[in-house]
This record gives sequence, structure tokens and C-alpha cells, in this order.
Amino acid sequence: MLLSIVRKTLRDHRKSVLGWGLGLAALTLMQLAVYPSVRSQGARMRDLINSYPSAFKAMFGMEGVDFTTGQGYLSTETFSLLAPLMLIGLGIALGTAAIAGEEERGTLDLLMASPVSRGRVLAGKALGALAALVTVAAGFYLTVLAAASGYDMGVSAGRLAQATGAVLLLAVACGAVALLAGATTGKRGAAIAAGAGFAVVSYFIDSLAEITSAVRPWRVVSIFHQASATGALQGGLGVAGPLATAAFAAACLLAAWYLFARRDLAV
Amino acid sequence: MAHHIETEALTKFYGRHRGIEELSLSAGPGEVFGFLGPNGAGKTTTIRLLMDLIRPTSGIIRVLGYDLRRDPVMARRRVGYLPGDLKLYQDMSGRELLAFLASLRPGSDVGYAGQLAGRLDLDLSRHVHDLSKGNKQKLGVVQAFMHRPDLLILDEPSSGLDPLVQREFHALVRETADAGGTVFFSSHVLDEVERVADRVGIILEGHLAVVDTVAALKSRALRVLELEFAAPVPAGPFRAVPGVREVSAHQAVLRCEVVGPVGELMRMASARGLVNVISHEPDLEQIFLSFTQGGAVHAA
Repeated sequence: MLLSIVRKTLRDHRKSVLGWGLGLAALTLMQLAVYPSVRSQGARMRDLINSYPSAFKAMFGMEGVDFTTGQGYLSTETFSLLAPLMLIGLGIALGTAAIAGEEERGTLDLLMASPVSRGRVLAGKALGALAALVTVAAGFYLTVLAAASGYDMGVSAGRLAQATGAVLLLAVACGAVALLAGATTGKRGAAIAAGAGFAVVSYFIDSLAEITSAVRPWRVVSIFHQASATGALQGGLGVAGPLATAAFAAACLLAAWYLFARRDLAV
Repeated sequence: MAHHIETEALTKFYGRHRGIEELSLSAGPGEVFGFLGPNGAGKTTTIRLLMDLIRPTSGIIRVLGYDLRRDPVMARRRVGYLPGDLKLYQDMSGRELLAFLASLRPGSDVGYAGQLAGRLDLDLSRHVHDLSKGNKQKLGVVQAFMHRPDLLILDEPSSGLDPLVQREFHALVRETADAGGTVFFSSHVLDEVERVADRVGIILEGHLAVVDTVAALKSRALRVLELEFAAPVPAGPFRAVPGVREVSAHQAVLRCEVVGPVGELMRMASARGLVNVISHEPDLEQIFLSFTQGGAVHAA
């Protein structure tokens, strides 16, 4: 019964998986296609970047990064903006759809009339959403891997996998927040706001910590710090940060499971 | 098993807003229970409580012998449910939808579902978003019946069904009850309840006003008798007969409104040369109105 809910969830999202997957792959390819010309004009690009205010560079992770190396280019372009934005967006969409989407559409009554517990429905939907997210992340990884070796960017498959894993963790965490808000309130708006709000606040804590020492102690609460894709590209993903991020997502799902089982469903 | 549905002092408040209050009812095997009331009286609240979609403020619910607070999943195993505001997955065909629901319900029989669809003249190969409201409702009926449940909980089941399909649906309900199942259905269509239900519960403003058999409710209802005599008779003496409410004379015809047994009235009439009697059967409309207007709500 759990499996059939997982399957149904994947079926519901097959179009978004395809759409987001192809979209992310296309954007990544376009972005990386520019890399050879960036590299060939290395000196002029460096001068341009150096002319930016240092606070700006710090905030967008450009400080101390050589834009013209493969690793630098991937970390400032693909892994600090494009991939997180797209995968987090998908994560929030999936987390929102899990309970709140179905409840607002009114189909949850029929589903919950089956002899399946609320916890099991939630688990099946969370697993299905995770599988969808992993599928898109895997497609992205293969795209980036092919492009990086094609353009000779000098980044190992292992490092790319770790960086992709970090982005996936970010998306899972934001999706779990959206799922928790949706399972608690039954409102899509609340789920999207919670997931997006969490992502934005986390991002700004991490970015501001680069330039403001007052924010620096708070950096540990940001998932962008704990599961840093650029950090993974440069020095590996580590263990503690990803574990903390995964534990946070698991705690959100546990809270969702507890609260969803105890409330009235909306008509 | 004594009852398939049993509630004790079931109460549901939404914040300060009243849903239902102190509702105690039961329905047993072989019974079709019609749950009647105007919109907003608490029919859907009661039904969603029975399905564990919402939780009671207080009171006890037992479904198929299971305490709903402790064993909601076990209770739902042998229940078929048709929501009042039916929403189906849009991007599936009827067959796919039934297969998905069947995968969640032990005892589902996709072949039987196909037979049911045939009886209701429903094409299962069509997509839900292409179905008319009536055909969606048919699909809702099929999914409710397809695992041959012991208990059917149906919220306004015949809304949107055309009369021919309604008749087939009523036959399905009857078959379920004859096979020992229980059907609990809500309606605001009085003659449907009258036609299908063995017992009727009337809910008004969140309170269960009355529960009785259709026959007993009818006997308690106001009936109109037209008595035709050989020659004009005075109305006066008839007014004194117990149970008689209102008498009016039009030449040789006496129009009497009666509640309860009519024996006394008939004896007096035949002694005065009764020629013919026309009895207007009370329908539930009249019974219903007598409860809504009679202020019997809070006395129950």
C-alpha cells in the first residue's frame, strides 16, 4: 500500500520531473557552453571581477575564487545559483503538493477513506517526492559531468557528485519545510511561503556571514553553510554538515507526521 | 456484531461554531439508514466524523465494531465511502483511478467494478476530466461499492444522477442491505429517502430530531382524509374526535386533517352515511415540515 502511494506520487509528478529535469539540463548546458570563451579571455574577466566591490563579491561567493578555472566557474555559476534555485524550487513544489495540494484540490477525502493511516499516506508521498527530486538531481549530475569533461574543466566526477549531493540536500530540506507547513495547515500558500521563506532566510544568513562578523555566529543554522555545494567542489562535502541538514529534514517530516495525524482535514 | 455504526453523544464544534451536538444513533446489518436534513444541519459533519476525516470534540464513534479513535484503519477496511463534494484525480482514466484505489483496499475486485460500471452505463476508459458531473458521480458510486463493503457511507449519493441511473443505484443499495450490509446515506431529497430507507434520522441544526421507521413516521404525520357522504353533514361533531385537527365541510364532502389512528373517525362517519373515502398519503415532506416548524428540535 505504501508502494502504491509512492508510485502514484511519481505518476502525479512525471510531467514536472521531465520539465524541471530538461529545463535544468538545458540551462546548465547553455551556461557551461560559455565557459571556453571565459577561459580564453581569462585576464580581462579577472580584471572585470576584481573591479566589483568586495562586499558584492563576498556575498555572491566570488571572493578568492578564480572565475576562469573550471572549478571556479562551476562553483560561482552553476552550483551557487542555477542548480540550487531550480532544485529548491522543485523541492518546494513537491513538498507543497504532497498534502496541501491534494487537500485543496479535494481529492484527499477519497484517499483518506482508504484503509491507510495518515502516517502511511504522508510517508508514501514524502518518499515519492524524494524519488522525483533524486531523479532530477541525477539527470543534472550526468549533464554537468558530461559538459565538464567535454570542456575540460578539470573537476573530478567525485567532487561533482558531492556538490550535486549538497544541492539535493538543500532541496530536500526546503521541500520538507514546505511539506510540514502544508501537512499542518492544508494550505498551499502557507506551504510555499514556508519553504521559500526558509530558503531565502537561510541563503541570506550564509551570504551576510561572509561580509558581516555580527552574523557569522549564526551561520551554523543556515543549510547553505551546512550543505555547501561550493565548499563541496573545493574541498569535499564533509560529513557533519550534510548529516545535520538531513537530520533537520527528517525532523520536519516527523513533525509533519505527528501533526497531520491529529488534525481535521479540510473539505 | 450488533451495530455497524454506533455513535454516543457525538459532538463536534469548529471553534465556537456548532457542527453537531450530542448525536447518538446506530445502524445495523441489513439496514438502509436515511440521514435527512436541510443544508447546514450537520449531515456532512456527521459523515466526515464517521470516516475519521475530522475528529470529534467529544463522544464515541464505533464503526464495524472498532473504536474509531483507536483503530481507524481497521474500521475503514470494510467501508465504502462517497464524499458529498466528490473530487477525483483529473489526469487518470476511470479504470486507472479504480485500480489505484483498489490497490489501497483489500478485497477490491476490479472485475466487479467493471460490472458495476456496466450497470450504471459508465465508460471506464474515459479520462476523469472528460466526464460530465453525472458520470463522475457514477465513478464515485463504483469506487464506493467495488470492494463489496459491509458498510457504505454515502453523502448525497444520488446528486447529479439522472432518474434511470438513480433507480439502478437504489437497486444496488437494496442488494447491499439484503446481503447483510449497512447503508448509511444522507439526502435532502425526501422521496428518495422514503423509497430506499428502512429507518430515517432527521437532523436539524446539529441535533438529531427523530429516528424512526418510515412507516412509524408516517403514522405520526398529519394525513388528510376526504369523507364523502350521501347528504351534507355538520362538521362540529367530527372536531371532537381524538386526533382530528382541522375539519371543513363542502356540501357532502368533509375534509379532515388527522394525526394517528383513524378508527374512531371512521366509526362516526359510517354511522352518518359514509359513501367514499379519499386518503392522501403523507410524504416525508410533511413529516419534515412538522419537525422544522413544530419546534421539536431541542426537545429531542
